[in-house]
Amino acid sequence: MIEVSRLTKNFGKTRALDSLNFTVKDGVAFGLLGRNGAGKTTCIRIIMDIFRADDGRVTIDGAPSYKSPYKIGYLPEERGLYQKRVILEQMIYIGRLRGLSAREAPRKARERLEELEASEYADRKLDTLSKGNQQKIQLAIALINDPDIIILDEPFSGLDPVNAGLLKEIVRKQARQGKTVIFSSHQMAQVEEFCDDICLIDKGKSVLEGNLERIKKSYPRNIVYFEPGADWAGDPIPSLRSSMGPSVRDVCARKSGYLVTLASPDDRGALLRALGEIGVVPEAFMVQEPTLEEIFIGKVGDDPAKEGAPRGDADSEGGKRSRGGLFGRAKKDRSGKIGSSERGKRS
Amino acid sequence: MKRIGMVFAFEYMGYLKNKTFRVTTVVLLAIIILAAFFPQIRGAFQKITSGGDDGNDMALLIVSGEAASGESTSFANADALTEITVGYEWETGDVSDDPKEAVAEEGYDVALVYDGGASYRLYGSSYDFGLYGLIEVLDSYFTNADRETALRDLSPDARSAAEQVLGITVSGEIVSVSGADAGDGADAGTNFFLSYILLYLLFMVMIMYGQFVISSVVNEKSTKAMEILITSAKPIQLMFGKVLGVGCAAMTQLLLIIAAAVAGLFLNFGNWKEQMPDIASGIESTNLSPSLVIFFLLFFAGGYLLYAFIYAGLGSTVSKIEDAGAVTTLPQIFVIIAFFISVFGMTNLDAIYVKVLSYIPFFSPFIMFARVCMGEADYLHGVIALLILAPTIILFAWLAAKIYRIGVMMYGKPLKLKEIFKIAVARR
Repeated sequence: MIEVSRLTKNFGKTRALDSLNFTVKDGVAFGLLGRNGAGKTTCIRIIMDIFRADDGRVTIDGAPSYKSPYKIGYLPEERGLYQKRVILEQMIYIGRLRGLSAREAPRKARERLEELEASEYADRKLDTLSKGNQQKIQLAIALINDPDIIILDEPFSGLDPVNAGLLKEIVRKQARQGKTVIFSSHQMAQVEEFCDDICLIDKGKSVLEGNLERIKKSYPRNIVYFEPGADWAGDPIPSLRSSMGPSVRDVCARKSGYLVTLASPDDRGALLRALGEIGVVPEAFMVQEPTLEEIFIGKVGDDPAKEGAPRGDADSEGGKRSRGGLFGRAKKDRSGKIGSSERGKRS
Repeated sequence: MKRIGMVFAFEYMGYLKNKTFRVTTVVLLAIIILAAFFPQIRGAFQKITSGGDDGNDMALLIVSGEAASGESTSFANADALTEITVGYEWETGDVSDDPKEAVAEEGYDVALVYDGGASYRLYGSSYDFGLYGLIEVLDSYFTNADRETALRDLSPDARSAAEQVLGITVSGEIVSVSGADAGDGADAGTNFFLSYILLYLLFMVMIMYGQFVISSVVNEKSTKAMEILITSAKPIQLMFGKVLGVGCAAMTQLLLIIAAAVAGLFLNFGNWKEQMPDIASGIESTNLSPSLVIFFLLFFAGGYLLYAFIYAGLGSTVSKIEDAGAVTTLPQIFVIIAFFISVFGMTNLDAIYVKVLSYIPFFSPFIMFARVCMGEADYLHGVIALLILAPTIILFAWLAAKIYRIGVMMYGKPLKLKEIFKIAVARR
């Protein structure tokens, strides 16, 4: 178990971490999430003992992290190695520095490359590889000594979908083997599917922490998505509004379905009945949970209440600026709507 | 310790496999081997520049006055002069020739006017330093020739007496008295040549290989390899391994160069003796005792380590190689000052400032080594300077490691020396 408590770090006058707390349980995939500059990398670097904290501490099973007997595999945010050296040679070197024997190191290096489908690069110089492939090599190095704890700082940046899938597979496999995986990201959609627990950081503070499923469930379950099916033609919006009255706060059309915001989760039955009355037998009917991205933006995104907070970078990277506004509202009215999106297809 | 070894091996092998490093070594070796054949090259070059003839200067001999008629001055002829003066081709001129004109307009390098008696006149360009050597040769030739002529006219008894008198020669021998209080100091004077070469090597190492250390550190930062490295090994291990790795690469290169130079000189020494006798005798008289070699290696290693740690510590605070100059100028100035004091001080090793500086760690690798090598200081003083140097190296290695630990993760604007100093003396 990794415990981060009251972690504080200043760089000059900038406070990078402000009494940050979170706990990472064994054998989970833990997402350290936050906007650019929120303090994710600083936190990870303190865990890795690259920086020392000004205050607070990081313990692994009760002992200070820098005295931990566990092997830690680390993929830094700043990626790079010797550009002019042969890849296998570098991997063996790092493997040896991390405690592998002269016999083990070459074997492990080749194993890792194979796992990442990068064996063909073993004898090439690093600078002959594309950026994405260089990143795979970095990942292979992070895992070279079979670490007990794996810390990946922004592992997805720069990877194409195929390689991102490969990486997810590896992370899942490691988590299944009971290893603790900590990774940071600002790309919520990327990490949503395999985060067990998350900690959302903003301005060096933890703003949300816990099991992702439970967090999602804790949001009000009053938004429902349904699909009327292909044979049903017509617009259900006017009739729903008239038959349900104030129970329906909002209805909006999605690509092949509709998103209904109810006044209360208890109105779901009424909604089903109302649909039946107009002859709709829904092909899909489900409570819409907020996506991680929506939770994220709701917590740290575009919120005028926070002094001068600029629009989140995560926003622009996802290319879905419109959501920021929605969750600005969600934030102000916690018990009310928590979001709507074009997400129907994905669920 | 094991990790230092790994870093060392990785760095060292990196240099040996590095193309630039190999090419530089080959080029340096080529230069050294060419230099060993300098006498032949010079000869060939002179042949080319003097227009295809055998490279000799043209000289005109004008015999005039009473010498022109007398049989007794037959030794003043062009063939005899060509024989005794190396590098001059003599021609016989006419009495009516104007020696000034001959030199100024007719393409002769020298003109000699001999009219018998105890004096002759040598005309030549005031820029031609060869004239000083030439006049010495001519002086003794004419003196001897005159004497022989005079002897021929004497009675047999008087001649043998005179020959005896003329045969008396006295020659001196230099006895060095510096490095007085023991026979264990190296031999002064004779080691001037060696000191100069070794000091120059030392200087080259401090500047050139110091640059290697810096660029190696900065390269790890600019390629972002540093973060992987410092989470895999302790900064101090990385720094030591690197400094030693670069040092050994430097040593390898140097030994190759020295071996090439020694082999080249050895194979070609005959030519050096013939063509450049001054340098050849300088080399021959060099007294390279085993203890001097040990001193050289110790001062070399000590000086390299001291400066390499400083370079590594300072280098760790910059993220781009272009910025390295800002922090490395200061130590480089120290190296340059030490080098120049040791070289210019070699003729004046007694000066009090030279003596004082020879104990100060930043300077001792140069100045104390020069003093020991020249026999100016005995080995005890050398050992004292080394004993002062050793803890200084440890102190600076420790300070550099502190800077390194923080510096390697600093990106952006390079720090000022004052800020670096603050990190070095900070408690954590």
